[in-house]
Parts: sequence; structure tokens; C-alpha cells
Amino acid sequence: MNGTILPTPLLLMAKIMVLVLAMRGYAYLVMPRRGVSFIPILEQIGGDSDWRLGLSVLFFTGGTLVMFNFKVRLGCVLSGLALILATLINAGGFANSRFYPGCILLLTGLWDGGPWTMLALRAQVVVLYFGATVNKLLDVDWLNGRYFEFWIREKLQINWYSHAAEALPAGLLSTTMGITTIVLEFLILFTLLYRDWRPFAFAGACAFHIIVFVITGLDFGVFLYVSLCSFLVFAPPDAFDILSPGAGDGGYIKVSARRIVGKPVFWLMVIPILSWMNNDELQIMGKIITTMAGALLIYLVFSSRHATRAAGHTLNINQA
Amino acid sequence: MISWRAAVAVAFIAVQIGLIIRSQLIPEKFFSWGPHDRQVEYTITGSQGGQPLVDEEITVRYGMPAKGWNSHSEADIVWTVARRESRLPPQLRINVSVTHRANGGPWKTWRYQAD
Repeated sequence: MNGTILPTPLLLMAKIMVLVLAMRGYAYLVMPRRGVSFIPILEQIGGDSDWRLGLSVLFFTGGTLVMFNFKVRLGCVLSGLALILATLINAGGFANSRFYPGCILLLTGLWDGGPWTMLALRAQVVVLYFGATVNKLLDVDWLNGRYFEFWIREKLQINWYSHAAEALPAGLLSTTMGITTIVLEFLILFTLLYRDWRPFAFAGACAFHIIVFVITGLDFGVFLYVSLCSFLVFAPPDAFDILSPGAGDGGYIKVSARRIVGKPVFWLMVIPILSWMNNDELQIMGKIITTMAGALLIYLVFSSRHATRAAGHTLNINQA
Repeated sequence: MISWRAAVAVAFIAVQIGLIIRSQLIPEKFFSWGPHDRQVEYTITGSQGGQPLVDEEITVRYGMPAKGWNSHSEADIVWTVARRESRLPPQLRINVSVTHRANGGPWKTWRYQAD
């Protein structure tokens, strides 16, 4: 128990998402004005700038409720709706890095402890990788290497990649990269569907996102962090209590005081500040460390499931 | 009995799956969950009464920079520009052209004629 109605992993996920989004300016600085809306009637309501202000207030209100453990589900719904509406009111500024956390926060707010809402929350992660896999698989540029050839070599102009590509037969590296990406995303999708394989899904997702980040230096807004963070929806509800034996109803606060968990949490919170310094190398280092710290934290959560099983086994023996 | 929260959550996921499938049947890729699956370089230019619009006016009008990159689809840019113009009263519409190329391919131009 953590004092709120949400299981601790979901509460922690919501807090990290709200915090990361706010720190990266999604609450106001990059909250869009209304442009071309997907729903025409939204263009009849209020002024373009009114929407930006209104959605920022909505996000801040929701985020505050989440951060202060007061009506957290309502907070998740408000902040999630703010991000989804921000997506719907401006087609020109469409960004998955805004829409995805919006969906996750909204579904977290709809969680009612029953199997269907948890299923929907987990399905959101599956849907993300399903869409990504299908899109790439049906795009010939991903299969013939043209996408990578243009993106990495011409647009991003990454020298070491160009040198490696030139050392190999024409197009081989880019074709391999394209097909490997599709295979990796499919494997993440496939392993997400079976409970015992989900740690592999998470490990695969970490590998995939971190490798893309190391190659390109891009974190795609907050997408890198929120996509990995969203794997907490697969964590068992009592994961953090198990990680902190003897803590009773300690929740993640007591867990975070433990050295092994506290360190990744600390770096998760501190390093993003370093990431925004005007130094490219520091930025990249900061983002890598942050991502790895987050990954380690979520790995600890996943690994606690084995502790759950072991504890259950011991309990059964004692009862017998 | 399924709760209203569960009904909303499941419907929300079902709509997204439907949109992913639909996005494979149409050129626009907004809700396809395919971030950075395409690198589209584009330039939007427009003129009203023979006077060209400056970049800031383009940005305000369409909610996207006059020149830049779109990481979904060239059709998304065209959809946005076409919707903006078609929703305006006829006297406020302008002539627009969108020049674009996807994944380093050949440049193509789409035009909207207000007249």
C-alpha cells in the first residue's frame, strides 16, 4: 500500500511521467497553441492561445494531484487528457512523445483494480509496438535500407556510420539496420504477450531504445523515457514492497531509501538537469546514464516477481 | 458486469487498433503509432493577393514551421494545410504549395488553389 488507491508501480510511473514531462517543458513551453484540429468543432471553441493556457492549467492541476497523492486517478485523467487534447487540437504539431504519455496517464486514471482496466493499460504498450512494427514492415524504405541510409548518413550526418557503411557492400549496413529494427520491435511485441517473457521484452526495449539513442543522440522529446517507464504497468502490484522487505506498507519512498534502488532513482532525477547543459557530450552522457538508471530500476521491479514466487512458495510450505 | 471505467479504457484501445489498421489504408499516418518511420523534408509557401506570406504567418496558420522536417508522412503535411484552407471562409483562403521529399527521394510539389 502507498496511501493512494493506485498500486505502487503505477503511482511511481505516473509521478515519473508527470515530472519528466514538466521538466522538459511539455506542461507549458511546448504545449501547442490550437492549430488545425482533428475534431473540427474544437476550432469553434475559444481562441488559439486560450487552449494553450487552458491545457497547461489542466496538466498542472492533474500533475499536482499526482505528485501530492491527492485523488491521483483524477490527476492522471486530467494530465492525460491535457496531453491528448493538445495532440488533437494541432495536427501540424503531432507528436507521439506527447500523445503516448497522454494515453498512459489517461488509462492509469481509469484503473479500477479490475482485470479489464489493467489489461487496457498493458495493451497500450503492446499497441505502441504493434503500430511501430506494422508501419515499418509495410514501408519498403525500411526493408531496402533507404530509410537508414538517408536518416543516419544524410540528415544526421553521423560520420562513423558513414565510414562503416562505406567499408561494407553498398546498402548492406542500412538494410541490416532497417530489418534488425523491425525484428527487434516484433520481438518486443511478441514477448510482451506472454507473462514470463516480459522481462525479455523490457530488456529488448531497453537495448533497442538505448542503441537508437547512442547512434543518433536523439531522445525524441521525452519518448525514450516515457516508453521505458511505461513498462511499469507490467510490474506486480506489490513489487516495491517485496523489494523492501520489512518495510511493511513502505511503498516506493522506503524502497528508494535503499542503496541499490536509491542510486538509480537519484540519477533518474538528477541527471536530466545535466542533460540540458549546453554541452553535447554532457547531454548525451546525462541521457545515457538517466536511461540506464531508469532501466535498472525497472529491472529491479521485474526481478521482484521471482521474489514474489519464492515468498509464495515458502508460505505454502509453512502452511502445509 | 464491466465497469464504466473498463468500458472506456477498452474502447480507447479498440479505437487505437482501428486507427492503426486504417492508417495502412490511407496516406496519412497521424495515429499509426509509427514515430520517426519516415523523414520528410518540406517547405510550405503561400500567397494572398499576390503577396507571399512570411514564415511566421505560415507557422501560425498551419501550426507547423514553414520549413522543416516531419517524421510521419508527407500526407500529414498536405492534410493539415488542406484542412486549414477548406475550413476557412472562401475570402480568407490562399494559394499554397507544399514542396516535399521523403527519405531523400525526389522532390514533389502539392498545390492548393484558393481561386
